Amino acid sequence: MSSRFNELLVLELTNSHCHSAYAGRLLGELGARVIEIEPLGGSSLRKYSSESYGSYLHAIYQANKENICLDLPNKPACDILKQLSEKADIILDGLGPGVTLGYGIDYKDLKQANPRLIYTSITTYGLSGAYVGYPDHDVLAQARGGVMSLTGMESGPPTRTSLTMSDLITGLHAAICCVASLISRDHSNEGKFIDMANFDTIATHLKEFTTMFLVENKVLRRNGNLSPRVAPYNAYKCKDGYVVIATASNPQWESLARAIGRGDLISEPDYKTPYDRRFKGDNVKNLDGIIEGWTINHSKNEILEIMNQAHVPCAPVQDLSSVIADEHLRHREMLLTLTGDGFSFDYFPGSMLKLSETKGCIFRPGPSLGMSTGKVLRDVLGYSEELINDLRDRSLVWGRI
Amino acid sequence: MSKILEGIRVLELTAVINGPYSGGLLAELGAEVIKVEPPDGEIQRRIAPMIKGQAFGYMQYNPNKKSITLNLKEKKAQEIFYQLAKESDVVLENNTPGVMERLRIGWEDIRKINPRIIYASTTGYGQSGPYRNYPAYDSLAQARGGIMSITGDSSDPPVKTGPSVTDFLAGAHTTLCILAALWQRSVTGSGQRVDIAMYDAAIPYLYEEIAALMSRGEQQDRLGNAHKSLFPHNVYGTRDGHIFILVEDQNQWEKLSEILGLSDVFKDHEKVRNLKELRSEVEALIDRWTSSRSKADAEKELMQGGIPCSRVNYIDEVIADPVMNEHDMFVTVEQQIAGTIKIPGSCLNILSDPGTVNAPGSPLGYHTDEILGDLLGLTPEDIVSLRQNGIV
Repeated sequence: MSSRFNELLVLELTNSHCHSAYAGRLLGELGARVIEIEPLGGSSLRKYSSESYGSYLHAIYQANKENICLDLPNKPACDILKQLSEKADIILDGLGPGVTLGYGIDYKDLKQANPRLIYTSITTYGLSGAYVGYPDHDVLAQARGGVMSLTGMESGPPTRTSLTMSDLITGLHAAICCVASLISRDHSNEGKFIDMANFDTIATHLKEFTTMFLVENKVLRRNGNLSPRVAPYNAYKCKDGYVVIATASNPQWESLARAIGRGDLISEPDYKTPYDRRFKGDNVKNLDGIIEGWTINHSKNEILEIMNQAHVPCAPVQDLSSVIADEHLRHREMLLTLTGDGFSFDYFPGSMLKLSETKGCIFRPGPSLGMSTGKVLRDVLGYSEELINDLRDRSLVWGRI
Repeated sequence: MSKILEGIRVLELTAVINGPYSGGLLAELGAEVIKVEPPDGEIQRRIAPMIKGQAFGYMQYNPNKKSITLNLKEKKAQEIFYQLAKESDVVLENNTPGVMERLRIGWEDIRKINPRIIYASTTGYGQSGPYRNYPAYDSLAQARGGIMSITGDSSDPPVKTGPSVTDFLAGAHTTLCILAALWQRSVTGSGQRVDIAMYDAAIPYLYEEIAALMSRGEQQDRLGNAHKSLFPHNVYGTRDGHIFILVEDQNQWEKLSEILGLSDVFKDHEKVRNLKELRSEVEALIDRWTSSRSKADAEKELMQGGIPCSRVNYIDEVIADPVMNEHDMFVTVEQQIAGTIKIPGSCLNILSDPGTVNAPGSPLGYHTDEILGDLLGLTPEDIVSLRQNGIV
């Protein structure tokens, strides 16, 4: 079935942040033509940490996309972007508050030229409020947004999660807003302006923890791998690593107790409910001690087999080398063998968007720098060879012509 | 109230976080979401804390939704469900694979009745693959999916990301697929099957680490708060909590050195980054400086010097944060029984028509009469009889 997304043109302005890159990748997985607008020297994503690492990061985030290198601070290059925006359905702007405006690219003008344009700004703190202009690192939004206070061991300091955690969720919610705006555009024939903020998205992901404060004024804090509500529920050391065992109900607890040869604990009045096991006296500590005393003498595989048979929820803590070899993720096409003209990957991240008729697809890794500059100018704007060569000679555009 | 999804009706058979979050986003955008629950309600209804018997967790995960109960083990209830499915655009569910089929309300059953239906399942491991029947919670997906293996300090056990991130990622990806399918349907006229897994969400979560693995060929030790190339990049103690500080370049480094009064030994940022002894000395000096200040004062002083930093906020501080409130991220709403409560708002900020949280999740079965009467045209007598027979 041909997808409506195949008719979409998306322009993506990404520099160092992964939020706009992930939003663009999702639209590209669904079939949109996504063109990344890069500065002449390439986006910071490409150079992040080290040349080799950055190139892989760019390959993953910018999969399926085309790109064009424009020297945006220069007016004639901005004019090219404006002409592209007249043809575009969606602009993803992840450059930060005021950056495009500083280049003379104003949504009001773009909208006048193309009323159907959906303009999506994605920033750390949004375009309004006291934090506009604050340093905009993902990890700082995790600190200010409370995520770090909830991650880590109870005795240890607040801990960061992945360095792109809030970019990921915000790019995803930005993509949701884009498709919602496409639906609304079918009726209204008008585009939308979207103002996404990492800080806002984080707030909606704290619901497990805001509950206790909003009702009981209790401030929950990081607690290692314990559940804020039930026990036993933790990561336990075993012979060859760690496993997580998670019981949320009495039947699961009873199966667990029997599976580790401690059926006698079931009748203990102190261990009657999940709440008692979690919060009464030293119950959690004692029970976790008993469970780890058992797991430490078994391997991950032995424990999994025993717990699966007993219907006790359990999973090994896998490191990346096991994850990329995982048969389930291969089966689900979340990890792909991706080969083609000039590229070869043994474990390339696939699409989560499993739709039966128009499923998300990955065709190729992100383009090399300036790879499709000429193609975009010709295909989308109909520029002549002469004009393109002139722009290149004046260093306004760069790349393969 | 957002009008974007006005006229779209969703039947939601979900529990806990993943599925409810997905349906909640649709409801924030103006869809009519009818939550179909068993007679005793979904699990979240029984989890404390409660306000006047209404579970707070349920109310915040199910904004703007209507509630009806159906005992789907009964044939009559299945027939009512078919009637509802005929009048709906989306079925959204997060049951263990096979449960919906056993109740005869699986994808194949429903598409026969309504070929326009978008049928979305969001589960722990998805509808296919060797783990499809394993029970799943967020912690288990984080463990097996490698998320725990990159979080925390290498001297501690692997640790999970605090928020249930795979639940939310699966839920939001489901919403994206449903919207994509609705947009597609407006041209083709036919629905689709959506199959999302919490476990799959580990892969986008790990892009950075996968890139590092491609580049280095092996996994790095867990770094705690440190960064592969930036230094400093850590939390430091203050009089009243912690502050996170990071430095990206020589320029910021010089500013920080000036604020801390560091000696010339530490002048060369590159050298400090590369020598472990110098790094630990610097960590101790920063900590000494921050420890004598409040986090607000430390943050103010460092920001004035152009040093990227942020206080580490706890839940109470997040809820009281002025920008969170300017952005309506915590809203005061009314529930039929619980009364006035404060819950998280919507982050879907589409300016002329933003996602909104107008009401918390409703009491169990609150809209049963309205839905059976107005939507399906059943008489009050019919409904009384269905109640007496334990169908609704």
